[in-house]
Amino acid sequence: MPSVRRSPWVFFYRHDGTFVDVPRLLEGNVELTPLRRTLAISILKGEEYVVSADELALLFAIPSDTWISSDEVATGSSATLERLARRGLVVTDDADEELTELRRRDQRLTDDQWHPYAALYHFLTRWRDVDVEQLPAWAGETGTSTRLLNEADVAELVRRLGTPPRPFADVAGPHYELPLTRRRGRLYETLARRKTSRAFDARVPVTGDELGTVLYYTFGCRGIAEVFGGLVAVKKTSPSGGALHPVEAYPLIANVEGIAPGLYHYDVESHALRLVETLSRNSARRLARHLTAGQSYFGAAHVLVVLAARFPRSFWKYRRHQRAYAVLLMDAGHLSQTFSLVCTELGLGAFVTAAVNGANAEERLGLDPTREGVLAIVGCGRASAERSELEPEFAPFAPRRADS
Amino acid sequence: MNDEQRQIRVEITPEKAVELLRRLATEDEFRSRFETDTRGLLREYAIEVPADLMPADVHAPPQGMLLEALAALGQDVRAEAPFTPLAAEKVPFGPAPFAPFSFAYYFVFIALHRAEQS
Repeated sequence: MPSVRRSPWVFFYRHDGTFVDVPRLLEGNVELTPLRRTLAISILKGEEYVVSADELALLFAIPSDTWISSDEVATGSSATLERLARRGLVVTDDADEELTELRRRDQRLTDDQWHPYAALYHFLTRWRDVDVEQLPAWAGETGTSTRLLNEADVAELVRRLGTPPRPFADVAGPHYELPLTRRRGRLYETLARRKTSRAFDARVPVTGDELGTVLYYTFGCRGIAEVFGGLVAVKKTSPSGGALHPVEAYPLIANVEGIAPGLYHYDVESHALRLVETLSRNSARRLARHLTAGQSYFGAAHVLVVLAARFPRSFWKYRRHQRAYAVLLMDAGHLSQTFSLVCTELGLGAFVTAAVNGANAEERLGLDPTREGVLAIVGCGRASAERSELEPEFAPFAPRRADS
Repeated sequence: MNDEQRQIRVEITPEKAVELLRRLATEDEFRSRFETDTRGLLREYAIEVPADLMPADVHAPPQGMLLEALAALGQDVRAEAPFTPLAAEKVPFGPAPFAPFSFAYYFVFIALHRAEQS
């Protein structure tokens, strides 16, 4: 019998919830009934599982810091033990391929100094094969089957959910009005023109020069400094926690002059693209749509750039650090804004989205998800003259002044 | 067959519970499968129904009832969108009365702004 230990990468919680009464559901009726259960959250699998009292007792009988023989705990329950192992709740030294992979992930998370709460958040919120255009196919009283809502639907939503929060916060206290100086210059004009583009003109490709400019001015290295003992700080156009810049850029090119459609890695050290996979233009577009979770308007962009964090680059320094993962998300946010501004300056449309099928992207890129994980996707292209139906028509806004 | 085997076993997780109801409420193909391959479909959601507890005919509940149940569980399907504005096509953004005249409003704004600067 193999040796076992409980994975330390497991959380438990008691869920007192509600579900439909199953016998009534089978009769075509919907009746809510209380449903109380204990869940084990497996970080190794990125899934949560209902566990019985017996399974829970077995899990708690197995230590997480010491290997023990399964004979010691699994008398008459080897099937249960195997089920728990395949759910990533227990690791074993079994040679089975799936169990070996789960043991490797368990060890990797520990060795790479993940903070348990960061791992919980990252691996339990990763999407795989989500298609947002399939989700809210509303077929309500209005007879519409679109997720774009009409006025009656919005009114109904407000009735159900209550009035939406105001766009601006109300904070009580003394009021000090600030000078409002209208600045001129390229930076201010670019900031004012920045917007999210959701309509692209496929007839005109992005040029290789434009792509090189966008990548260099967003992800390119502007300076390096050896801090100590081989730790090299990197300077880019965006800030990064500890000047580590652990976020890598993987362009998915669909329509760029002189560059074959495909999936690439942007090699910062040599300002070059390294091919990961060649694609046809159509398959690049399909992949773009899939990786952006079915957002077809983003799938039509000329270039997508998958932002993936190299976790050990950060966690080597910020070891089991409570704030390290938040910094990675911030890094991706900074890069996306810089990307957007450079595109705006070049006259390209740009976007960023966190609604991404990260697990699919990691597999396609051949990444080990415990070491390098997708945080977001940015993209750009030749913006269409036609406005996307999803783009709000913003009315100009000026701060309200006391004398107005 | 003993009593334990004849019980319906519900080990569905909260997220999967919402997904099951959402798909039943919104996907025609899924509703059809619920009616023709009920046990297989429910098994995928960790719900085991013994064969002898299955009714002769299974009918998917009305979509409206399912949507109401989802709303009661705090999941309003209609409010969901992938971080996009809710209703750009049909509901004008900004103060509604101004939206149809937003161009005119813009020129008024520019004129006021220039006057402010001069």
